[in-house]
Amino acid sequence: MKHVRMALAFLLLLPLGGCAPHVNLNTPSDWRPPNEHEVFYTAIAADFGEPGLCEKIAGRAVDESNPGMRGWVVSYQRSTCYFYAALKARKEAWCEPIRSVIAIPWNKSNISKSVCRQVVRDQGQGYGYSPDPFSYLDGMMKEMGYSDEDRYEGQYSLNPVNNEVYRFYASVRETAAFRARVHDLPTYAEAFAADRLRPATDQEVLTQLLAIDDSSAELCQKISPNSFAEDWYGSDRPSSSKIALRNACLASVAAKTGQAAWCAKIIPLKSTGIYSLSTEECRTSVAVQARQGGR
Amino acid sequence: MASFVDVLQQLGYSKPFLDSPPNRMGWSDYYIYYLSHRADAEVKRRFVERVAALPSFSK
Repeated sequence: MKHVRMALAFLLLLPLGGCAPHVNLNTPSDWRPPNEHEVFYTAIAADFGEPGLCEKIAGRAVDESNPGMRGWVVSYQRSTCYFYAALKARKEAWCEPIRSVIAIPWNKSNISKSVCRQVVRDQGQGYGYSPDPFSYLDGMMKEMGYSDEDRYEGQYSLNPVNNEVYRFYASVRETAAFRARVHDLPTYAEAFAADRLRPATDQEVLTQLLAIDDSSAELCQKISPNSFAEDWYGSDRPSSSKIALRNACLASVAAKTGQAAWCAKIIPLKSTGIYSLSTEECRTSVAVQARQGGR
Repeated sequence: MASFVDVLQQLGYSKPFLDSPPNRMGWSDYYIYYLSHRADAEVKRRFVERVAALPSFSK
């Protein structure tokens, strides 16, 4: 009844006002704007399709935006969260908890159960917007305990050469202490087995780095013939995104040193889906390098 | 699988980073390019778990 009286009073006053106010008819009397955490949860739920995060948002958190002559956009933050999580995961069932805010004048928000269902059925077509976490990301990452180490790891994963970790490696690789420590790493040498192919360990990756820098085929042979590395730039080359680490190491050392004998150590990996130079291709590469280098 | 950073730490280098501010990756790039795309499912799962452990609001 209170809401109805407010709405009637509002309608009577509307012609007198220049910039129109609005009344939300079904929001709690103690509603409040969403806080930083709640905005962040909405973005993460949307990006990762995780509706469970939406329940962390208070039911009285109401987002109002775009006030003024163009109308009001009002929504429950928790419903906004479910809306974008449902769109991301294309799960109509996640539209169920959505509640719309009824406002006078007309609420122009799209956050409603019916729009959610329709957009999910339309595969999200024509709906490009999604909330982003960037306004509060730095603070939230710190609050969650993410450290520089995590950031460096991410950068290393994206570009194994241009990052803080590689720069550190480059600064110590010439030192005797570092080389001794890498040489002391355990060996992964074993027999080749097509059914035992696996991603390279980071110890193998480090061993390969120093092996190539030092032109050390002996170090290459501490790498398992069953290990492969993901191609650093392989996202656009899915068919050759896995590279045989040991073979690549031997081929590089052979090319650098001009010693084609190391090519004979390359293990054929045909039909495994792992990219590798063959022994013949390795020898050709050595010959080409020799011609170019005047060996 | 141990991370590459972990391997260097195991070798005795507690802070195996050589910072270069002009090339430093901020958290936004970490989120966009690594966490949202490149990171494996386990890294993504741990991130969502850490978000879930942040405060909930009922008021």
